[in-house]
Amino acid sequence: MAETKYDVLIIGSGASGGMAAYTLTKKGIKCLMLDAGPAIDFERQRVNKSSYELPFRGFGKPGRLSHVFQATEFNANQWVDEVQVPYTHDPKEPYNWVRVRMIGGKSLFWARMSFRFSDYEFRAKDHDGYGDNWPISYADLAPYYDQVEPIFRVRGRRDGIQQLPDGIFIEDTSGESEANRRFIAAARERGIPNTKMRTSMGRGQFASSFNLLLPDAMASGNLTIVPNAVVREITVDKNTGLANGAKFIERQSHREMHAGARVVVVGASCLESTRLLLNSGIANSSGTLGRYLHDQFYITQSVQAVMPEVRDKTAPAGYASGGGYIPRFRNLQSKEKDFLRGYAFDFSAGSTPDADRAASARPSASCQ
Amino acid sequence: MKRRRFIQALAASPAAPALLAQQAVPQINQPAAPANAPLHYASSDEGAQAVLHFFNPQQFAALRKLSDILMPANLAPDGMPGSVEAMAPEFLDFLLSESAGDRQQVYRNGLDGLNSQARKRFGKLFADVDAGQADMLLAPLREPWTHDVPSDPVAALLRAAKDDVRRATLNSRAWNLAAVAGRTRGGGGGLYWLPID
Repeated sequence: MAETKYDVLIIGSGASGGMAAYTLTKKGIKCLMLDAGPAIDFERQRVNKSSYELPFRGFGKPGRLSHVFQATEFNANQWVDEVQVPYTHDPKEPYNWVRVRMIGGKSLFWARMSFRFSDYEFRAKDHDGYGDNWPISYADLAPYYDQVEPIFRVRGRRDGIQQLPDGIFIEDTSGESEANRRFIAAARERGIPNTKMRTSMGRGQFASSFNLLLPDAMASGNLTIVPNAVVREITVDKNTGLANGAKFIERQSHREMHAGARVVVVGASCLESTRLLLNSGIANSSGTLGRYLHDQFYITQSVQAVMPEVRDKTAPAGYASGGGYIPRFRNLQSKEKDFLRGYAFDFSAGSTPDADRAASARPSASCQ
Repeated sequence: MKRRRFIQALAASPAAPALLAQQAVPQINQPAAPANAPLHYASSDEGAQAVLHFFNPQQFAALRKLSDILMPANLAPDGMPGSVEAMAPEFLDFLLSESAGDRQQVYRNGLDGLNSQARKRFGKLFADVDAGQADMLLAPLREPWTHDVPSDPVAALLRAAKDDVRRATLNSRAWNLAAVAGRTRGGGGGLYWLPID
């Protein structure tokens, strides 16, 4: 039986694979999407439970998912179990590899922070003389931000901050709590700008490829999705030297299959995509493949302060609530001697700074 | 006796009418549950006691005393259980038995250290010290928190136990029942992901 030949084979169904499918299928291009994980029914796959009903009373099974700091006993089954799908690293340099294998990938579980890069990143060498510029500039990428933000319904406040370009936002007109006003005032005294968090609102429970991109692609009639397909090798036409499909293993039966296509899009996450290309022995004539990678990383450090009014319970309702974002503020107009570029972080205020919250709170920060 | 002969003999007996009537028309006093009625299951905390096997008796007694100090019933919100009522020490005995060796050592060394200090300063085990003596032994709890894990075994234990005892209490069945009864918010819960095939 002749193999069905698709125009494009897309490996991975997360943010990049989903966007590829969304864009290509609307142009009438026939796409086949393979994902290593299953299709999930979120209504049937999740149930409400009390912590005491879990085997480890909400602490989680000791040693399970030790590299996934977001993992809890409630959500442990949503992550790739590193015992089932192991990886290795230098013991002196532990690496937290956070993986999701299900339709929608990690776009199901991201923190929804939705920022634009600026030419402080794209043209960084021009600014500070270090490293290399990107081959594209902000002006090249801006039209694509313009397309994506309405799909993901990004909420934010336009503040005209050069290092954090404004986008097509659902305008955030919320006010500031007294706690935030004090924090913002203290920052301004030091010349540090702020804005509201820029967040993908999505629709329903998710801001994901699963609910924002794949349904439209599927509705076009041009997308076929095969779950539980663990791609192990991209195949190459011996005559042309071009990729012509992929071999994959059915996750449950271990049956080996081949899917053919004129073009292959690899969107299986930073490390999985790289591993797949390396295992396929392609796209590495420069020897650069697998080097200089920058996967998403996770920061657990936070700074916490207790406001006396909140501690003493004299603060009125809403006194400590809401949050915001401090964009990069260092090395913009001047050049510091011993510190290159900068960083950004989000801040929030709450009214229950008890030990439990303090122990479990893991605000994130992003580096720019 | 063959069944037919047994029935014949039974019919001839004086009590036969009553016995046969009982046999022929079963009386059901309770309405039968619908065939598809859901069954309600209990957690093991509801129906049984934990068998302890990680800490030795002196260590466990010290942990129980420490738990009671860290989260006593009389300081919990109105009607909410303390750590002992929530069986937090018993749960931690299980959790530690499943934990990595370095975590186990934090607890064992720390509890041994507490007992050792109590014996040295007051001539008794930690489980037997009074409130004032316990206050002195638990002085590291009043030290400012730092990022570095304390090198002193007792201080390291206290840092770990402070969080663990609280969490084991808030996530207990006893706390959940009290919360459901409306005595306070919380009780710990959420959306649980079932195992994915």
